[in-house]
Amino acid sequence: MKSKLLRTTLLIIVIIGICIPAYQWNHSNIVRLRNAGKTRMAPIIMVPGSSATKNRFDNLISELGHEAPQQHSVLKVVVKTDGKIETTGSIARNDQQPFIVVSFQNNKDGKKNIDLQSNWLNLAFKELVKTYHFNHFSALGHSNGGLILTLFLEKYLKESPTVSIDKLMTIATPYNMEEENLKKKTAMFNELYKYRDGLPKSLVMYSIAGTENYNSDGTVPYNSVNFAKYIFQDNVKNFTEITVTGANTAHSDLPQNKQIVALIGQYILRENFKPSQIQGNNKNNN
Amino acid sequence: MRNYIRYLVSFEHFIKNCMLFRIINETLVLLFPFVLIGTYIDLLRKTVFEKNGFLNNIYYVSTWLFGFKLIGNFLTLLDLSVNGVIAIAMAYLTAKITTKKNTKYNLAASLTAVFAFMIMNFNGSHYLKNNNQQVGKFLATNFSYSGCFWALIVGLVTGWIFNKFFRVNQVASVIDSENQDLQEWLATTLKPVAITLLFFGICSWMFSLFSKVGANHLITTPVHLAVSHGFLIPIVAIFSIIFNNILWLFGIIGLFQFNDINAGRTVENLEYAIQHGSAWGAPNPVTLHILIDSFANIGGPGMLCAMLLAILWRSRNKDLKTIVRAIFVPSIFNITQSPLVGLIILRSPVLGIPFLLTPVVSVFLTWLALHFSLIAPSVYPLSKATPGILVGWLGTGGTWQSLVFGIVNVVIGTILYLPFVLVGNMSTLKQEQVKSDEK
Repeated sequence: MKSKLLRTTLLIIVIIGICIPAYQWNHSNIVRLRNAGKTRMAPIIMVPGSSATKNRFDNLISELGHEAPQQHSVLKVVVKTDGKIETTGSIARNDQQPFIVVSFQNNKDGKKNIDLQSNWLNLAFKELVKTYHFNHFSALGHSNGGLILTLFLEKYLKESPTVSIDKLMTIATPYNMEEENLKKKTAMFNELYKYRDGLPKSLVMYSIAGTENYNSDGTVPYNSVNFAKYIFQDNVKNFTEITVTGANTAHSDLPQNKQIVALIGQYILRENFKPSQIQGNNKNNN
Repeated sequence: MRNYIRYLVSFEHFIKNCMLFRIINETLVLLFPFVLIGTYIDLLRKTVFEKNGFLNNIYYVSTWLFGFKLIGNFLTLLDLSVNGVIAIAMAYLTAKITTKKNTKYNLAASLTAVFAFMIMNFNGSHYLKNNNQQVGKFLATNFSYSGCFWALIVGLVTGWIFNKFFRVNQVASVIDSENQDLQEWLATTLKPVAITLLFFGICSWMFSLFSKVGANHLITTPVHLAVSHGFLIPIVAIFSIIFNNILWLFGIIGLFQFNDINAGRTVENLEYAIQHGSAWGAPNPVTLHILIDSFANIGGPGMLCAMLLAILWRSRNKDLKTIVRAIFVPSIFNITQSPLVGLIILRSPVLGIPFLLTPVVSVFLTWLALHFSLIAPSVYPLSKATPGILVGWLGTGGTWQSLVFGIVNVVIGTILYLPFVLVGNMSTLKQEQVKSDEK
């Protein structure tokens, strides 16, 4: 009788001794999964350059739509000067890489505005994360949009600690503003340089320059685009510079340049562009 | 009803007295201590000394136990060299028992069977080797439990060839003469050895033409069931679990990979649960993985846990009870080897019937429970060697409904096994009567 009681007690102790820690481990594991697991949805956040509207990337997106194996939905966000956001379009339920175009009511050029715009981008970004529950994303910036994105990554992304950036591509972004002289450093560059340690170390970065001649794409000096290396090189996981020449390489044509569209498809979209498609594009272009 | 019972009892007798099953039974009995030790090594390694082992995870053993990695490596060594080569021993023993007439005779046969077994597991892709890649000469994975079926076949065929071509009276003279005559020994053994090796060599070569990874792979290529969606899932689950358990008994492991079949859906479920913080309402509540892995294989294939409980509770067969006591603890952690279960079923063949049918009932019950949302689908990944009864509970992130359902499932399983244990008792009684009558 006594031994039976003892055995039952022992059994209960063993069961409790297994179940409680197992339950605790299970929960800590679920929390870990929640933090580590990347969401399937990873939007591509596009920021147009100065003076451009929310429709700046329409051509690019329709070009991508022709080439990409999958259709992507587009959400357009305009950030007002008071930080409120206004959206048009929607994200399709099953779309894993929707495009989100973030533009600004005040879309003027100049360092002061770019600083403001990167702050506005941050406000919009937090809203987007809250609404769409993604925890990683890629970004594409054209011209000054690249500056806004870079500043945002350096200064503000850490305010959303659960979200990480996979890839950044900037197209003809003047990291040293309009300055052609390699020796002169603008205030904009100095700021980007100063905060460069804030860049996520896991970032994969592509900087694309377009050139009509040996010096520029007609608007942005080649040397200014090249200044990206002082900010990104050895500071992020990968930094790649690409120079595109040939037809449609004027500054404002670059986002719909077929070679650049192919590069975006290849590097930013997660789905595989077939090599033939990329080659085909080049042929059309040449 | 009585007729049925009588029929079952005589079925039990028939199997027990069948020559083939007696050979297998004897082989398994001889292997029992080795398999048992192997099972405990496996248990220790999988639960404690593996990074994702259940006990290691919940008690954080790796953080406080000095020499964790060293012990783990040591256990791996033991595991690979005991469990890892068990099928070779199996081929040896089967041939030895098949030709059980005198010592020299079966020694030659069993040695030949070992060579033949190695031949059957020659790695067909060894021909294709290039300089960059090391390709093993043998398919070492088939030396483990998954190769037991082939080991049995090889052993039996070798034994048969020896029985056919080996002149017993000649052997007798060889054995009798104290100064063994080398020439005579050669003359008698050369022929059966050559025939066996040639035979299996041709078999192996032909198999390698079909499958570059050996004969065993022809059977164990995982089957992916493409039709497994919608209302078909429970039906597919029921058929595949019966088929899988039959094969498992023969030692053909891994024909169906329930984990992989609906991998996409499993990931969808996991993602849903992570985003919503709960497994309830996951997009794919019914997948083969949930139906089969969570509730139908508690303790091991065939609701082994229920079988062991029923035997412990009511069986009067002492041998059975000895085996069950020996394997009970590993089976709590879902660690069982097919030879051990085979041994139980050969001792009491009627248990084979609930072994195949109990999982069907539990798959059906699980499907009903999922269909009416009584339990949440299990979606979270688990540690290795998680106790079967806790799989459903932990897999749903700790919902009590799943824990209760798991226990209910085991109770129902035990009830289903019980009549067959009782029939087994009758058959044991009858055997004892026959024996006492003979006396």
